Amino acid sequence: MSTVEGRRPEDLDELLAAYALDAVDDVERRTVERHVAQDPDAARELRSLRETAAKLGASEASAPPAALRAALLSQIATTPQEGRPTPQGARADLDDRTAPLAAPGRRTARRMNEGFGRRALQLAVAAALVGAIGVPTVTALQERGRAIEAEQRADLLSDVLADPSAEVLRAEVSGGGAAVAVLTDDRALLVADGLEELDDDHVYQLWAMRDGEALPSTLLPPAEDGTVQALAEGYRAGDGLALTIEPAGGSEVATTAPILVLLPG
Amino acid sequence: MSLPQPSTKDPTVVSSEALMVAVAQGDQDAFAQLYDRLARAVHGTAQAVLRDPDHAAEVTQEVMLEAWRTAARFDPAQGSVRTWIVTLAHRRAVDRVRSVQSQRDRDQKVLDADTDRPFDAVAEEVEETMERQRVRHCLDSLTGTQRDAVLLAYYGGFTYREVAEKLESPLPTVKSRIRDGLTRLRTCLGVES
Repeated sequence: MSTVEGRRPEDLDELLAAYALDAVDDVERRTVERHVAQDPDAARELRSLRETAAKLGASEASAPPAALRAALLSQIATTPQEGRPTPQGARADLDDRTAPLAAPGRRTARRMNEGFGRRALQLAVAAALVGAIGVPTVTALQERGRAIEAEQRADLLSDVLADPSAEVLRAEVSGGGAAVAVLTDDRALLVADGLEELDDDHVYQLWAMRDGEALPSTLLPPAEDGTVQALAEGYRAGDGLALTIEPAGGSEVATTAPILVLLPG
Repeated sequence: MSLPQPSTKDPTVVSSEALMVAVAQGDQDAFAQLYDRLARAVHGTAQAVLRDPDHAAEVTQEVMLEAWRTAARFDPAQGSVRTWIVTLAHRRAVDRVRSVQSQRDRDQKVLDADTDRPFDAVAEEVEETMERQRVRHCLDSLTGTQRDAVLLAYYGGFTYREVAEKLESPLPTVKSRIRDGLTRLRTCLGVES
């Protein structure tokens, strides 16, 4: 194809897609770039096509050699940046440096059953969580129903914790709340507290992480007294757990980034 | 982030865009944090195109260094940092594969699709897993010819003319399959357009 400078190529939409995949030669590359520089609609289209293509690449993410990180960090220490003095020059003037940014929040899973008194620890966890669930001190009739449910939930939790193979993991939920997972040889129980309430169009969905796959699992029921508890359907020993927010009814593949990740040690 | 963030926001997480601003001002710690977030995507993109660990490592290093050198040029209005850097990685990988590998070699490597990825249970992020599944799910929603055209173009490093030759299809057909395949992916992946 050929274009007169400034005239919109007839196959522009197709060229933009090919360009976004780097499937053009250098001449076509320049043609597209020249055109996009003067056509805001084409520029907008290219942005979304590039973002799509970038997802193809990112989906193949793999670890670079471990030594690369250190090599790069020492390289940048002596590599000038465009529009700035060399790094040594910048460092000499401390007032110029921005304050270091806070470390990004990390969702960490800690095993709570390390150390002595594993059984005692499990019972303590059960007691603390039962307290959080709110075994009621009031015995008013209209709260009887809630009380019975809370006791049933506490019973399930104690039951799972009593399993000798139980491993307890705890993590913060991104966006608010905390969760404990109790993993045994045949069951995984999630207890989450303080989760943000979702609207009717969304639901919390559990995923079982196994062999590099995220397998769809239970949709969390609505919280009672701010706490929700669920067994992970389809769970098998060794699986990790993850939680995402999905459209009501759940999804076959996750559509948002996980807000909680719990991986067994 | 690749998968969209859910509506709940975590105020303690610094965005990659904010890290880039710091990098542009010479903050080496911010660069290290960006490396930790993005190097796998950069390396994976390069490896998927080059199918050679040494070349992939070199391209990763080149691209991250270029990100350091040209950080001030990054314009958030043009898209996310992740898109910017993966786009750069893909471009460098394609340039390299076109200059070092004959067409015939690349044919074979793209067609022998790598389904046996070594699974790194400890290091691999759960989010990466979900993203990979989402892309596969969306690729499956394309017609066979759309998928072939897009994958040959993206991972094979072929121009659309070369793709037409490989698929033994007319040029206009291949051009529209690339376009339709990519826009279908765009919709399925939830990219705003």
